Amino acid sequence: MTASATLHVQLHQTSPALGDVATNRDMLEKTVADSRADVVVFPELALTGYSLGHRARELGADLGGGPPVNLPDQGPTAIYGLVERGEDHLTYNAAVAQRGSSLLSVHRKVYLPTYGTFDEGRIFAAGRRSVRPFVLAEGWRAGLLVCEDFWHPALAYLLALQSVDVLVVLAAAPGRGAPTAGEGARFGSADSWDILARSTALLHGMYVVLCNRVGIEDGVTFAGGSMVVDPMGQVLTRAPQGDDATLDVQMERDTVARARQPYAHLRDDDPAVTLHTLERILRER
Amino acid sequence: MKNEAERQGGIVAAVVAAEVARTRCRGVVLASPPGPEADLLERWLTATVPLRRPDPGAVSDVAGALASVGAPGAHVEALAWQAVAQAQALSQGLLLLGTTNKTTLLLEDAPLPARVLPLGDVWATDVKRWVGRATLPTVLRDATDAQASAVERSLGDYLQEGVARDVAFTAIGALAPLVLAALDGAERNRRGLLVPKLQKWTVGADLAR
Repeated sequence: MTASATLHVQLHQTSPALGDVATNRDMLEKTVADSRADVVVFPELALTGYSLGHRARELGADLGGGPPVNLPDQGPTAIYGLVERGEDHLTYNAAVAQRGSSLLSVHRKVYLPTYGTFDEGRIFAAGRRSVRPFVLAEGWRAGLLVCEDFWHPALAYLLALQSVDVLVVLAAAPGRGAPTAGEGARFGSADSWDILARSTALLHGMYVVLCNRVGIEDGVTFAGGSMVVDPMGQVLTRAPQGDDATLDVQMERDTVARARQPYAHLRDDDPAVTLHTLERILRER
Repeated sequence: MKNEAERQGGIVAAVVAAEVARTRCRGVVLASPPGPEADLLERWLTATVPLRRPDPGAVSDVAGALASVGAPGAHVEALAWQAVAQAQALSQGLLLLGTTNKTTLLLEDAPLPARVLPLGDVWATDVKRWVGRATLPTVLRDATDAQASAVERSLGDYLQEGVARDVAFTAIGALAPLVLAALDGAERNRRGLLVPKLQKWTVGADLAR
């Protein structure tokens, strides 16, 4: 198996129809079938919309019966968010990577925001599986996170320790504060995501793909502003705030290698120190 | 380059348009008497959704009827506008909008005019900056502009920034106990439905969203 030198990733910043799984699935299937990219990425809960309340479970998919989306066997890998009905009868906010009829990875959102405008802890169970990377394409290891997970840097760190080249973050992040003025107007909350994506990419020498949704549900305006950041922390491409958009980016394995040469953070990291310290902290709590 | 009012207005108009589409309404009707907030909403919404105001003649008739059954004078006009607007919303397929601003929503213990409050996150002092006047809650009726701004900053610090209650309101001095009493008094109104919790999943509590 030869590693692919490049990887064409396509992000779709969309506004999923709330509660209309059939419409969202049709859109997703058509978009993937029409794409010439290697990987096509959609936002958090792309199959259902976000403000699901008590309907979450009925709109969920039981992945034990196979993926809920039909994709061509020779087509791109799709990464999208959905509600998963677990084999334990609990309901999860999940991200999946799917190629043809195979699920390459399922990540259950670990950190469910239940504060301010968020109510996820009342609707979903928190994921408790350890985070694991998967092979996205030949020679490319990827990890999945969902929105709030990204604000808990331990998860990105754990994936980095497992040699991830690409971190894919699906989000349904609201815009807060009126957009700033002028060209490229952005919500007040956009800077935080920007800092988070760039610093994570730089610290771990990995590509960061952040796919955020747009649209309005329940008075909440989802911000968009999806982006791809290279392993040096530079923003390669960025979608506008508030509008549907498609981003295409070509990732290069050499760039990952180059980023890890001058910056040896990952090489020098000592997880044993982290582990010992964590054990002590937990003992003393 | 857009100014702040236009930027906030864009978000408000988009949210209202989304709710009009979701509820399959033909437009909106304002459930509050004429005033600065109604003027601001009209300015923000006109280009996006058809907007109606209740017929003043009908409001006058309903106000007379309310007065005749002993409705408190201070509330007669507001109740009459709500009643006529609600009737208009039902008969014409319109979405009922209240015009209450954020400062009043937080500090006035009064029934909400509608479920949808497009200005519910817009401070009164911002309304005043943009249209020259604003509706203030009773507790701030005699406050100067500087005092009203200081109160809003305290409310923001306490409710949005997590500043401790005994610290957030020190800057407003003697107004603090009055403002806090008003804030606590109005709290129930902002929580929407009140339903006795009898079962595992109760409308208004667990099934509020």
